[in-house]
Amino acid sequence: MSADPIVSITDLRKVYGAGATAALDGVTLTVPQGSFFGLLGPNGAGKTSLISIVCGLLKADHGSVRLRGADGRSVTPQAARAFVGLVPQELAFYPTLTVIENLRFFGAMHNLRGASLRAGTDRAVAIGRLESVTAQRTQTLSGGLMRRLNLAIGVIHAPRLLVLDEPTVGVDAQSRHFLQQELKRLHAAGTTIIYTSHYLDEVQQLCDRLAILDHGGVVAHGPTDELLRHDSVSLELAEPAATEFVTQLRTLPDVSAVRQDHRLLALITGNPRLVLARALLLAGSADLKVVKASMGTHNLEALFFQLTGTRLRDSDKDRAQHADHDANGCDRVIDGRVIGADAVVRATGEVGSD
Amino acid sequence: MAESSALMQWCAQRVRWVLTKLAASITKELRLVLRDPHSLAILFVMPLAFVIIMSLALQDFFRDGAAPQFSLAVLDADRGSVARDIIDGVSALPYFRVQSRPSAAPDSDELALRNQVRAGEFRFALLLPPQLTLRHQQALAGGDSQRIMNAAATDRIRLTFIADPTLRADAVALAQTAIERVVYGVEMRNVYTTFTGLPIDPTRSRGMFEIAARTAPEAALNSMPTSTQQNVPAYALLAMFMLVVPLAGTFIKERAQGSLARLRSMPVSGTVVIAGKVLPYFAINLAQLALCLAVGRFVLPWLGAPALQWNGSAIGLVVLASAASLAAIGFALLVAMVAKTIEQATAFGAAAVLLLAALGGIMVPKILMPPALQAVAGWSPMGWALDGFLALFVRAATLPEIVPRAAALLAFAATCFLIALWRFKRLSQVH
Repeated sequence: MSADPIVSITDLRKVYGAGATAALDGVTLTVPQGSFFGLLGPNGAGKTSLISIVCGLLKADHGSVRLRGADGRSVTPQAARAFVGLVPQELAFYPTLTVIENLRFFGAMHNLRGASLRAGTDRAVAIGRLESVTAQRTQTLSGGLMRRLNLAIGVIHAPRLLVLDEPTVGVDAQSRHFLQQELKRLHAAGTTIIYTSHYLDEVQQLCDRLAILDHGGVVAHGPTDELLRHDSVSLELAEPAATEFVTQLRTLPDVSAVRQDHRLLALITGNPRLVLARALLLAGSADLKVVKASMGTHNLEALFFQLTGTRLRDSDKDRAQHADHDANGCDRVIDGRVIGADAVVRATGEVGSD
Repeated sequence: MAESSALMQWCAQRVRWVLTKLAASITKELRLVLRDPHSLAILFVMPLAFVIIMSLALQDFFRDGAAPQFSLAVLDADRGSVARDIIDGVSALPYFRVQSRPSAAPDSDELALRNQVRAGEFRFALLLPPQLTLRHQQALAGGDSQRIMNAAATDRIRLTFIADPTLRADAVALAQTAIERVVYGVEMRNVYTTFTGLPIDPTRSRGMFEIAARTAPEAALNSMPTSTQQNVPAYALLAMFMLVVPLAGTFIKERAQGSLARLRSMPVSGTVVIAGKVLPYFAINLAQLALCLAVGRFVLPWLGAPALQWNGSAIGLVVLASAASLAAIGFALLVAMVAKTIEQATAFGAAAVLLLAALGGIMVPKILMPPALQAVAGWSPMGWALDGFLALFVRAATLPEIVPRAAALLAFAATCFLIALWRFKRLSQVH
């Protein structure tokens, strides 16, 4: 993997309409060339907005996105369209056209013609294993075949950067496995991949780098193994902490991320014992009463919930009421089971106290 | 030199890319339409059915560019020379299709005839009473001119005129006046013959007065279209504007399915995307018009309707058809950009087209509209186009005479395109 970023995002902001909550609020990220980059976040976290800006579909209100071409030049997303492939979450092709007609049409839109179009089409058919259905209208394909065609269209022009928005939604285990294997092959062949999915195990297995978004901001960002190597420290305070205290926690040595969720504080660190001790000292000096404290190791799912919370994100209203619900000690959901608020602590390991 | 050559190559490559994308877009769009039976029915089957049905149904109102022709049943209980002269006279009028029959039982026949008129089998009926000729000759034989010219009520011979109650009063009055004029002419000829002793050939007789021209010269004589000249362009235009349903439908589907967003993530400009829709539908519009014209020219005469005649400028026809097509496509694109769902686009689009059609004289010819509504018809682009086609077909209009209507259509199209492009740019931003 080259260390040069293929995508550099700086202080990106996007607000839909006056007075609305920011969909992206100061996002700064880099995607190294050759990486398999996972983009995670609950519904409404800002993933689709970010992808749309990277692919040149949407203009940011503030900040910049630059993509690096094969010649090393840094260009805008609009100018980078020729080497970016998008595989949207929707099955974005024409149901009454055949598989080959869809591929030829989208290939032509990527400036392919003649021999290059034939080569691109053959390559895409091979990647999607669509040989047996090329003459079939796409409306008659199974869900798995449709997902494979959706991927094939995205790679017909052999993009250097492939952006996939939940590409395995609604497919069976076999098709999901097939898509994962094809993506690994594409990555091994040098394609940089930005990948969003709600299947956390899938992301953990595929992606070598991760960014977790929530409420329009990046709450964690780095190599997957490093993020997962880190442990967590959780503090439950009697009252919500002031911003000043949270900032102090962020500046503690070995702390890579801090998330505040009303009275709850989650700290991602490689040295949990030391960080827990320092955090308790800081809380004492700030006259804050700690109700519960804990530390533990976790997988990506635990990290994700620790950083983004477990509250359902059904609507903007839900998101807006987020803090109030947590303050009232509302139940949380982990792995589909409704358990008490302290289950987050149990799930992450030992329980401490003030 | 090398720089200009490189620039030329760069430009040539860009042009090739644009043409490749346009060709691919046009092929794709045509495939989408041709594989959608509903779109085909709306674009081709519906207008042809309308052209045939309406051209045949409205023949009476447009026949040969003359006034409407009504069915007239004449019940002849007289069977004498006066009755024969009256029947010949009304048969010679251009307003009636006369069907006469003798009657031996006038009372029962009259009752039956009244029922037939009431049922709509005939628009009018005229009953010539028994002994009409005999009583008329007896009255003349007296030789008393004062008695003849100022006949008392008891001496008057009553002919019965029956009209369809659903007809407008002015049509009934005109028909009655025309028949009275024939009857009066027969009476005058007989009076003249009686008092002068000179025989008159009723087929050659002419009065002393005549009205030379009703309105303006030649042009006015041909200003009334035939049913074919009216209905072929009218329903071709309706079909052309009805492309709002498939065009807006495919566009909104593209938006909802994400293929439009996918297209926007590719190196293809919005102008090419829009042009990729405009050009195939432009071709479809011209095919619709050509098909309707061919049906008017070759199929309708075979079914008994007049063949489509046109003496105007061929270039004018192409210009007008192109302008009408662009107006239709512009309107459809505008609806596609404004509507949020396919249901909105089809319901609003189709309703708007039908409203414009009704206003523009597509369904009800403008000549049948009251003046106030005719003024409102001037607001409909379909009305502008129809006026242009009628000018070409009926009044042998030249290209300069067509240009103002084509310019109005192009201005409408340009306005729609500009708003649609503005909306497209906004919609292209994924939210």
